[in-house]
Amino acid sequence: MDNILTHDLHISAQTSARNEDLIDRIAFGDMDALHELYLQTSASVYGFALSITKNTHDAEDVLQDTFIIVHRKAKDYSSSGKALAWILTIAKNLSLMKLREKGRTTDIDELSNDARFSVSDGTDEMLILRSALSILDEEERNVVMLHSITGLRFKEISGLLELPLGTVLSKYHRAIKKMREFLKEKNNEK
Amino acid sequence: MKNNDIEKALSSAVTRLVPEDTFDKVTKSIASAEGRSLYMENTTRKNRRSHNWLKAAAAVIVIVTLAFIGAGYYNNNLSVDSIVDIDVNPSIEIKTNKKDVVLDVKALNEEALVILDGMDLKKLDVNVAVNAIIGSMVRNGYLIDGKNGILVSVRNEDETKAHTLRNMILSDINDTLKQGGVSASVINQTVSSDKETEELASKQGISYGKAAFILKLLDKGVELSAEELAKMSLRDIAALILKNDITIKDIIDYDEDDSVLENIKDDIDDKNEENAHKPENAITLDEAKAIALADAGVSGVTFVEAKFEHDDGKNFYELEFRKGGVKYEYEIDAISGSILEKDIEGKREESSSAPEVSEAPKEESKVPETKLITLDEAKAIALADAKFSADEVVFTKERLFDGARKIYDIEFTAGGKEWDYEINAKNGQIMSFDSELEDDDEVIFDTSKDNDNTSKADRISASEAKKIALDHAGFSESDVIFAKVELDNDDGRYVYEVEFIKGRFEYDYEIDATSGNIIEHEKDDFD
Repeated sequence: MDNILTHDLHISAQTSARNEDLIDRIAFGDMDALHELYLQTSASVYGFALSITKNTHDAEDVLQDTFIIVHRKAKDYSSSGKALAWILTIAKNLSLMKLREKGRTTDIDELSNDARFSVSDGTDEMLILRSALSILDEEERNVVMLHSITGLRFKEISGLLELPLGTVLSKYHRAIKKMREFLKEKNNEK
Repeated sequence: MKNNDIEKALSSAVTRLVPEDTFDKVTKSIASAEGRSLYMENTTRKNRRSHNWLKAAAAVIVIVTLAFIGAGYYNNNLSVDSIVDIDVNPSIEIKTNKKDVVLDVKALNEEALVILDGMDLKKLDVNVAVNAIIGSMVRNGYLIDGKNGILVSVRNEDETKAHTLRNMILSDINDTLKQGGVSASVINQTVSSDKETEELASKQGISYGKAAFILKLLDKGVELSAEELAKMSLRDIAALILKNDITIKDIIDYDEDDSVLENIKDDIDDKNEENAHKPENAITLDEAKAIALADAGVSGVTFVEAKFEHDDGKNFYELEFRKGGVKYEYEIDAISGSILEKDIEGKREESSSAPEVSEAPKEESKVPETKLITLDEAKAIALADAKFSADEVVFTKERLFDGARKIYDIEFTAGGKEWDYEINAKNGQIMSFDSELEDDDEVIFDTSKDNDNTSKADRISASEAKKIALDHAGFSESDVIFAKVELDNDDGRYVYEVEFIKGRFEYDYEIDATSGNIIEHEKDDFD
């Protein structure tokens, strides 16, 4: 059985060439290309924005604005083989702006009011996501979310978050451990 | 619960949360913005060109101008105390009263209208207004990557007051930029107020500070007109200053160091180094451009790229330009002027009607637009290139990529690697290919440097390398988190670098890809 991690890396390497091509076509005004890029990367952008803002409405705003900027700036994009990292940098800046507007007061409780976020939503997936957003600190959260959703390599995550690789790895490890313990407790409560 | 399951659950939860209608909102917003930018195109954006921003600049360059308005100058409007101009590409003028409360905010150009769209900044404190404006610029895609410049001009009759206001605004901009992960590099400029500067600023739709800067440069004998300089970005102006060796220490002073100008200087030095390889009998860049344009049968284009390249003993010019929705890329031999390579790509719907296409090169026109090679032909082309026969490979993907360009995407596994080809469906040309080890990081084989004696088949696979490392450490694959499995060519010898995490330890292995021997191993506590 393949390790999911290496499997993800594999996908990441494959899709990056295609994303570059899409951005090139977007620069020519090709909206189909924008749509395809959106389909491929929207979950990554949304997940990262959610990780930073901890608010689904803000994450949606960031998702929307990110692709507006991708469309506008595609012609300025210089091919570096890091299309996803470029898109996520835009998403990061927009997310941080959101935080600043709100004065960093966002609280996990806001998520409780979001119907789509209800814990009773059948599976454990939402519980796991909620736990990631509530029990992890900012850096742990960003590392785990990026790694799970975007398929970026730790090295790339380290560049995007401007953290040393060693820190990224230790944050990742600690975050997974925290979540595992949290989920174990939750299970015992049942 | 395993790590993988946690990751899968997170990914799946987020995917489910992504709102369904967001892309519609994106397209609507773009459509309305395009309506607006068409209008802009007709007015002030005629001369907007793509900026070749400096790659090395890590900071947003902020030029702060202090100007002291002569007494009586603004007597017709006594309530105005200070005027703050912010100029990126959008230019905005803010007027405040004595209490630093905003009286009026004016867009000086069409881009600024977009920035100020829907914002009512009157009666707000000036720092709140500046904040909102910088924030809007970031949201609109300016200042995103730290390769922009901001010009801030503060005009007040009272020097102390101007300084106070300057510091307040500057620290605010700095905070806003820091939030975006960008730092500001500040350049100061102090000017006195005069009519000439006023007129230039309003005529060109630029800030007072930029106008003042330009006028001073003109005094220094810059061979461009005020109008030309007004249209240049801050970075381009800085490059011009360095190129012509103009001393500007007496015009401006630096807050910290010369890093801004140093960066630009490095950029220019790089360019000079490129040119150092240029042989004396080489044709000029303009001649190369003329050759490419003549071949393409077009004129009046904007070059996206035009530079001399020295690569592998070859001297050539690399040129890229666009015309009528078609992208042209040329490589022109710098000695003979012959065309070494050309690549012409265009939007299908536009190119079918665009007149340029009839003059497009013969290779392209030989194959009529509608006639595409078959999937089987595309597969054969890929196999021939990879040197496999059809029964040696397993095709994992075969698809006609039916976008603006017709491309066959062919993927197959063979010899422990995954091969990915993109083949132009019109002419069968291989657009791109790479091969990766299965279950692995990307490895692109550069066959020209592949000078070791072992053939690819003699090497162990990535999975085998992982297993060797795991066996040595005494773990099974499900126990650990793999951070990296990569095949490296280390001085002609192929080595797998294997990294994984177990508990609070990180394990690093170097494994000989031919023999499977462990060359080096390390265990680090990263806690």
